[in-house]
Amino acid sequence: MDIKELKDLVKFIEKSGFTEFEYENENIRVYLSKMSGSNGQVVVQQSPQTVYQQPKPQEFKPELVESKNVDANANTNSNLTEIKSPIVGTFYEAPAPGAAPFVQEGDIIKKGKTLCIIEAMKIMNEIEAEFDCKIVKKLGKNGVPVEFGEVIFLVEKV
Amino acid sequence: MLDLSFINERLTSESKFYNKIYYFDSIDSTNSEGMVNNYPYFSVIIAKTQTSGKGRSGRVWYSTVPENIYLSFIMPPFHTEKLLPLNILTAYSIVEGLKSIIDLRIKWPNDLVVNKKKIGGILLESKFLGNKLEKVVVGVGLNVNQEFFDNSLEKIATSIFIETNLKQNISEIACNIIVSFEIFFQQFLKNSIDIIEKWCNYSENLGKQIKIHINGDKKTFTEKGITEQGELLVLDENGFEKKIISGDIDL
Repeated sequence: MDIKELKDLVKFIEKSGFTEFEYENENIRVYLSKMSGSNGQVVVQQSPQTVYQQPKPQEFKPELVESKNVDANANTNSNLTEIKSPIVGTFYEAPAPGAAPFVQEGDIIKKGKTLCIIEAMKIMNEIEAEFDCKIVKKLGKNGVPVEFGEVIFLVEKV
Repeated sequence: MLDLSFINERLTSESKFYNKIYYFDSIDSTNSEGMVNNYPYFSVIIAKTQTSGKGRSGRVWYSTVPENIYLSFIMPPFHTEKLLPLNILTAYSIVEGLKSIIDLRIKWPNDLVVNKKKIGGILLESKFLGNKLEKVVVGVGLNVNQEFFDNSLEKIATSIFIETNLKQNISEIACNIIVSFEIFFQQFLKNSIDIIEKWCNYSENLGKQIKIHINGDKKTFTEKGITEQGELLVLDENGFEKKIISGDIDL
């Protein structure tokens, strides 16, 4: 599927009566939804294994909201925001070994709430929520290293 | 005894820490206090004792002896890339600040050691709002006038008193640390410290064999130095260079 076909498809779905459209083959999964709002927002979701590289998703903005590396079952929701690790380090879900995690999936939290600690070279870095949100998915695993920019939470602004 | 007016007099109004020294007789942890509450940037929180002094990864820093140093600096945000180097530079500032009293060495990343025993530790904590650094809390614990340690710690811990047989004025030690840290921090912001070169002067283990605990494994390396980012550079048993970003080194 090239960019023109994708654009045509988006236009077609936008004008059609469908609220959702899904197409999948071995290379790509396309999921379009008008469910999220009255403005007919459309989502294209690429499965992580895909080798499909052109067109770059950014070229579709502003009509499209991109959502990458998302577990296909995790959501069909365009309101998700990725929270990325600001540094390289080890992800910790709790303030100390054996303590309760800072947040759980499903929690609705306020801006400023600590989400996790990323430890690097003995420095304990508390990562706080930038806005009120619901924790949809905790992607960081306790005690496991994360890269700079790696998605550690998927949240939904509330 | 800690004397606040002595400290402020020594600092003078030119110091950014002047008149922003917050003293507690007893507190859970100076770092926690600084993380949880909104102290102005360039504050120092200092306590006579801590009830739950913090070490790395939820470990405890023994803090019941009043004649030791337990303090935390509250620092403004800077570029995230400089967080790891600051971890090392803080150790440099303490070694420099106390060199007229005692010759300290550093075990990566920032343990302060004398004669193979730990005399002090540094714990950096930071707060990010999303991906934006908000503040950095730099905690320093230093054993100063402690006369002895329990059996369990005797072989691995020491104090300035035990090493020199001299009692120190605790306020003066605090001043030396604050003044030196401020000088290093200002130079650090201007990028005028060569952290790689300084490591050669201060490292306890440079060129020596070290054992590092990484993810439950204990491996032997030869310490080669550090990188610009503060990672430890080592050679493994086959002579291959490796960068270490987390792990504990045996003393």
